[in-house]
Amino acid sequence: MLPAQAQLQPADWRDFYALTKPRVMSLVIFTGLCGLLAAPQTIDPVLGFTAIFCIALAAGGAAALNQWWEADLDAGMKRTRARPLPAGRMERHSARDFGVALSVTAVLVMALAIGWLAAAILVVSILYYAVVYTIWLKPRTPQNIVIGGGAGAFPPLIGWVAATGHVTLMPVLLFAIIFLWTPPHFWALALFVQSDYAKVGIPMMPVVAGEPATRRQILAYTLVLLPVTLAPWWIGGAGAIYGVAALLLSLGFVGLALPVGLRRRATPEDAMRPERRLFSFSILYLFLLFAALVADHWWTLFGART
Amino acid sequence: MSEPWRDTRDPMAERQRIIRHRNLALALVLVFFVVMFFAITVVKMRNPHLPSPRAGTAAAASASEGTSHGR
Repeated sequence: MLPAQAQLQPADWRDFYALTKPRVMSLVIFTGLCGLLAAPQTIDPVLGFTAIFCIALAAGGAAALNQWWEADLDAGMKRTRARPLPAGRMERHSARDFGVALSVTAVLVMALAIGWLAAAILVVSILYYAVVYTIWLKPRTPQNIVIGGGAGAFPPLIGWVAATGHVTLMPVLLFAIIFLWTPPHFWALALFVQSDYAKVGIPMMPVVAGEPATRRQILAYTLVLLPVTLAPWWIGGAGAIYGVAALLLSLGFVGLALPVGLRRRATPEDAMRPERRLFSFSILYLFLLFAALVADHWWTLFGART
Repeated sequence: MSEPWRDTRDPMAERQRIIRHRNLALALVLVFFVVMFFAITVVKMRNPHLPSPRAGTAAAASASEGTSHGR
């Protein structure tokens, strides 16, 4: 239950800002921007900014709806206890209304300024995160992260569609990369915060299937991710800069996943160091992979001419 | 002796401060949207070939054919 303290003060603007999960949003903005910049067609900078702004707004809206729905669970976890709702700094309906307002605004602006296809995919991404993942999957199945990972995979697809106006194999591959990257990324985190999830009854993989099974799956997903990250190069959607970067980064990812996947349990003295290392690298991995994609595209456009 | 850990701020003054800051933030957001819509309108008027929301994917593809950078 949420703390029963009286709402003495109205919520501060910073609390509304915190509802949007700004740190998660930075990754969403980055991958969306990369999708937009790596697309084979150019877009006017103002419209490009608008598209990324709408993606960020939608991500913020979905995050607010997620926190509105999970306020009770957040109150039971150390990591999320200080959020505006469990801390009692905001009324619950304010978070819901804020989330709906952001989401609706994002979709309308995207539809009017960019196009209905990008707006339609934006709607799907919001519903995927707020309804399919938060309400349906997360409390029910340890596969919640696998399927729910799709929510975070939409930004590059939307960015690409905003620039080109249509869906091709390349943006689908970018979607697949983030989709497959999410389980090892999140389960590495879940391994060292598993007691928190267990306390509030969220069936995260380490809680339900146990640590050894989670470790095996982290390794399996990392191995499957390797050829998928190379696929844009194979199909000719990206050049050698991306191909070499993807190969090196993926080998590094697999290299860090091996010590996590091949041991059954962490020893008390290592403080989950391999898991923490894998989690930290996974964030860097995604940033560098998408940066390489854009760098490769720009090299093809501008560098090769000089 | 005073108790430094105790919040001695006037609750009403604090409430006014929070509301003032929220109003200011809201005003900035509204101004941002006005500027953004103005910029979008200017871009759309200067580039009539840009696909309209209703034009769909075919128009988008054909309109930007000239700037395509296929590999």
